[in-house]
Amino acid sequence: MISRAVWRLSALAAAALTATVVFNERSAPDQHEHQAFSQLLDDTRALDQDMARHALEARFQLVSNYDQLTKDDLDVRAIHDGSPVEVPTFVRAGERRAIAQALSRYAALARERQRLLEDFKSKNALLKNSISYFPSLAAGASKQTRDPVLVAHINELRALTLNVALRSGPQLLLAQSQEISALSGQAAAHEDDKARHGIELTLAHARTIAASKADTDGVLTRILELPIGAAREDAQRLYSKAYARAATEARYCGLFVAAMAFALLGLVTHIGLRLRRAAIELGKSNE
Amino acid sequence: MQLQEAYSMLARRVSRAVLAALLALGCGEGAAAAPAALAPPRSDAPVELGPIAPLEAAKHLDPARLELGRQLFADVRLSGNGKLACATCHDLGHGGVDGRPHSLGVGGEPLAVNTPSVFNASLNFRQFWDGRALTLEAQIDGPLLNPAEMGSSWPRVLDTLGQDRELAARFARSYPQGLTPANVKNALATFERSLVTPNAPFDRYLSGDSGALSADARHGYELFTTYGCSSCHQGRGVGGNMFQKLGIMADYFAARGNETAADLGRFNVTHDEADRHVFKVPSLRNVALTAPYLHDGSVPTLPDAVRAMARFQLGRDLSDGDVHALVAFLESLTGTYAVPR
Repeated sequence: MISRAVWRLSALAAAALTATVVFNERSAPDQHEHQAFSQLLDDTRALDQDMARHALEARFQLVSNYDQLTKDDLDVRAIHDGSPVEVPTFVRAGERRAIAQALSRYAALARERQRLLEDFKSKNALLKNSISYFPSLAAGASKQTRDPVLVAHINELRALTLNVALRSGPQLLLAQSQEISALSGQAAAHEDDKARHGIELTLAHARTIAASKADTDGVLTRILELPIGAAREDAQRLYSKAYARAATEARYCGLFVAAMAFALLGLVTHIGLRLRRAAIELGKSNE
Repeated sequence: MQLQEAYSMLARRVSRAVLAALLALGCGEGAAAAPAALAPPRSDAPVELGPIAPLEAAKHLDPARLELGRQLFADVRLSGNGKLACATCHDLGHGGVDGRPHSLGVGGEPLAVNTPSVFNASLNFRQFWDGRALTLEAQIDGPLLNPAEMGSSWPRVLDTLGQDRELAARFARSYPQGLTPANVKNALATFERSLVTPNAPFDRYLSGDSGALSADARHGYELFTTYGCSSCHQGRGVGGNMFQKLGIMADYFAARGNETAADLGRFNVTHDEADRHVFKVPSLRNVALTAPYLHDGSVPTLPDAVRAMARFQLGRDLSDGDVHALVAFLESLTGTYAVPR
């Protein structure tokens, strides 16, 4: 009545359909997971940009406290240390390993960035401290001495040091260094202890400004040059690739499911028609 | 890409529908992917652009957990000898400190460093003078497990607290896992997060009430910024958000003598030579209440602390007038603890 081949084909189609559906269920991108992980990567990118901007703002005194950088640190920790977000389950083991490696590289660089940021905050505070204190210190030192030569040296050092604080360049630093040496020699011979102490303190802060500026800018440069963006983009690229692969597979699975479903429907219809015809023939033969 | 996403979603829906039909026919169990939790929201602490930002009362704290933390904070059962509580050294009626240069541990011996105030500790970017703990929760292990401080252990704490049925029941109501080390820490940290002291005269001044500060305090604030103190003591906590070396312009430790291991500060954590004598810059909020000062508790009064800081950090000997003004400003940082509603 119904050939074995038809039954076999039906069973095969049903098995293929079931297997494909189960496979697709396991490997197709889950939009919830995808959105959560994409959000994590987006937040990370935004935080990286924020941290660089906030460090620059702190360096150039556009902000005068480190609360924003502290908040950034908390946000980074909240995202990367306490987050339940993991690489989505549809990502294959090999892809997962590659993404995890990229994220691990990123995490190591983020830790290094935080270490450098702490160093930056300390050095920048020294620089700001001396820059804010130095002008009144130099003015006070000028007032304390009556020696016009010393006053001229102090004024010259003040101008050069404030220039060093604002600009950079080896010639400027050399000129400041020479002025420090000249004033230092003059101050050592000064008889008035109080005036000499004032000049020595002025010299100490002038040296601090020169040294701290180089240190602070050096650390800031290291922060900005860390390849953290590349590591993050690497993870992003690997994840996008895995997502695209999973999405393509899901599309083919969808097509296959549809084809199998149609085939199964055809076979079931065929079987139904055959059974109906058999029933009619059986009815006729019974009459 | 959008088309691909839409297509994959459609394929997924088709396959889910077919799978559901198969399951309904009794073909087996499906493996539904558990949705991933969303990333936690970014911290919402207000950030200001001036050197010192006004402080706000603590918000969004679980009242039941806070009450548990409040009770535990004063509970001597957390210590090994059953005699010390957190509140023994962090006396809330005394600025969150005990007024001693070095608090006494379970054995009656003085501890290595001066007890920092627990008020506004939640604003600190790290905990302890050397910044070795990242969070309030992580900090709790320090004193609790240190044999010289509270000399306890988590099995002992859980065993002791677990015998208190009422407390255990409250933990069970507040936390799905009930009484665990993580939950005890969370309760204590929740209470500590409530210990902020807004509404200081200086906060009111920052908010526009020019009469909130005396002329001396206003002059002190000018000096505080002019002399560069605000380079380190800044932000909502007026400190507590960075590390700095003690003895920038003069050698504090040579002047004081008897250097101890604790004097190495951050070096004890990182073993980086650059971190020798580096400490977390302490918050100056309520500083008028937290004598004696510095990590070693060696400076008995606030005027002395101002002089010491000026000398060792700025290289300057301040006049009495400057010290008076700076102390007036620092006194204006004393806020009030308001129990969160």
